[in-house]
Amino acid sequence: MIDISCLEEIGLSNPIVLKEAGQKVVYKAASDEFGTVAVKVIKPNQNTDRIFREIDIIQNKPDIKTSKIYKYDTLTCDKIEYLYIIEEFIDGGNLRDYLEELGTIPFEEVCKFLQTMLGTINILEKSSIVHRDIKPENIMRTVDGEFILIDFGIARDLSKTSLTATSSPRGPATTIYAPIEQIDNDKKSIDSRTDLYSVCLVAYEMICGSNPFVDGCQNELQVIRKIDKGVFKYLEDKYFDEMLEFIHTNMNRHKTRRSNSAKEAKEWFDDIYKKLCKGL
Amino acid sequence: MDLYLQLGHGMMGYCEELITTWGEGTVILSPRDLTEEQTKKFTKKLHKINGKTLFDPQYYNPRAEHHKLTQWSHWLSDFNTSLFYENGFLTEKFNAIKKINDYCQTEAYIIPSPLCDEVDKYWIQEQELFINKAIELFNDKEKYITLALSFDILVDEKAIEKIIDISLQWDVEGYYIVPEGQYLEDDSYWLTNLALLSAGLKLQNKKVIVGYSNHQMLSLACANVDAIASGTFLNIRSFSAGKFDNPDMDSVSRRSVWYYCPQTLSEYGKRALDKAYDYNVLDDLKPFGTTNKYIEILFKGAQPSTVKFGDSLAFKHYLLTLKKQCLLAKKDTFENTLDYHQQLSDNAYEQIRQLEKKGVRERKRSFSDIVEVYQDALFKLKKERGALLKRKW
Repeated sequence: MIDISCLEEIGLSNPIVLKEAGQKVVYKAASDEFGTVAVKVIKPNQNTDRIFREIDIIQNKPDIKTSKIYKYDTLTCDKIEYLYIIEEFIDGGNLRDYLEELGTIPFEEVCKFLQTMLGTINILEKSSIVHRDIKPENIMRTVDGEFILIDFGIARDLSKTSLTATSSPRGPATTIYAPIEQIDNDKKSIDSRTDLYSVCLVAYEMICGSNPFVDGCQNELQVIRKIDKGVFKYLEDKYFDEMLEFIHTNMNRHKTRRSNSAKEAKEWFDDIYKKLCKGL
Repeated sequence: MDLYLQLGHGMMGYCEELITTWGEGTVILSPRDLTEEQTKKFTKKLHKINGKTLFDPQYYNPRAEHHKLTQWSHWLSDFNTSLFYENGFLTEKFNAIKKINDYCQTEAYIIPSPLCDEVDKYWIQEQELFINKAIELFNDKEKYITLALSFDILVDEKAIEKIIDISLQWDVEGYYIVPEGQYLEDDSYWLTNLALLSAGLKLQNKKVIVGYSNHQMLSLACANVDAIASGTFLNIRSFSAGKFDNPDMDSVSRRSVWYYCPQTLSEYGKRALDKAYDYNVLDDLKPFGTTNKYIEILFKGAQPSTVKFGDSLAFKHYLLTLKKQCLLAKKDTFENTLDYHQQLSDNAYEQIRQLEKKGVRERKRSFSDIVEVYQDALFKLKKERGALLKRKW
């Protein structure tokens, strides 16, 4: 971990560690230039291709609801060079913590969640981008109750060369939220319907409090087999039945049985939203 | 859902008569069963009575040696797959197909395709080669690509989904599905996957016609299929690639005459009809509501085996009745269509049971053998595709 006094050299004060994950440490800090910010400091000797791809995606898609990137650069601390990224600080917590606190989320809020996330993946789809890591840990819920998709670390621009070896039997993914085409590293099959699956799986978990593919499994292989079978219990609710139908359809194991695109899914959900959620 | 006439051996007269009765109708022309000269004359007659045509080039088995087929100008007399990739060969064959479509004044082009027994890169390459050639040459009307699928593909759910996925890239207006299987197929996966495939293609806003069909395919109305095509003998009410090799298959099933009872979705042979006559329940087999001239003779009070109810009347009655059933098969919503077919199959099964209680049994072509297959397809279609079908109906 970087000596935090080095962060002062780039105009940051009062840094607090928010999380340490994989190749980076995330801090909350005060910036002379930007106010309260989140700072990602990348650990040394990491492959930065994905990080620059993430920066590229976020900076070129200003209409995506995610944390804005103010600045990125390198700094040298104790003779080690670090890449850092200064981002907008989102006041709130992640959806995972919120779920753990509440157990289940009311349908009304799931409506709002779906509306926001479908809007986001629709924007990504227009630019041929797939996030590929939509899960409660990568969704922030602000204190105002807004949902924001973060961490484009394994996002893929379908128009660019893949960073994963085609021969790899597994693709980059958080297995329990990924559809089978992503787990199988079936690159040709990955498109916005992959994100659509994950969004709907998260919505499913918000409603019933657990991931249906994890329930009853003792290890990851069991989870993968369950995802491959695509069997899960259909949820029921008299008022929100159309929303549940939307979720179940887009969680289908076969991507050809989901909506044809994020655009089509959004149009479908917009109609459901108007009918069931507006004014709630 | 419409019923098209799948032209088979000796069917020209039936087509003319039925289209005259209906006031319209579409015939899928078969080079295996007609010469080019016959086709020219026949299509002229059809157009005069408001008939429409589609021409199926029948490349299912490009090595087929059926004597009529090999006389056609578009046939692959020197078949060798690599020839497809040689400049000029495919152009010549597709130009011949275009010429036939021109003189037949067809409604759309059917792009040919060999029978698929594996959804692999070779099959995909060939499909795309044919589609691209069609895009280049068939540019004056809609194009439907043939999906001729082997039984093994049809019972393989993943293969079916792969076809749906790949087809998203294909620049065609529709699909002509030719499903290999037996008459009244008793494999649940077969009918279910055929319905899922049809629904998947329909959800891409494409036209779907399912050839070589029978009344079991009425269920495909729930997948929003545009038309099924059927005909007289069993070898055109179900598909087997072998028939393009063997001219003798025309005579299959000629020995018995079968009466189609629409409310039971079953066919009854003369022995069963005689039983019904003996037990005084023959009228239970009469179609509910309006009947037709082709079966009057059966219900005039004589013992069925003694009246002249032969192949010709049986075929015309079958196709006339199936057309009616097809036109009633699709409703204003997906839910209503599904309910209708659930009831149709429940009622058919109940009618068969009632007839059995009265001593009338028919083993060979009874819907009771496939009622579960029919209902499984409805159930799975609702579960897997229902929400989107409902939305896009």
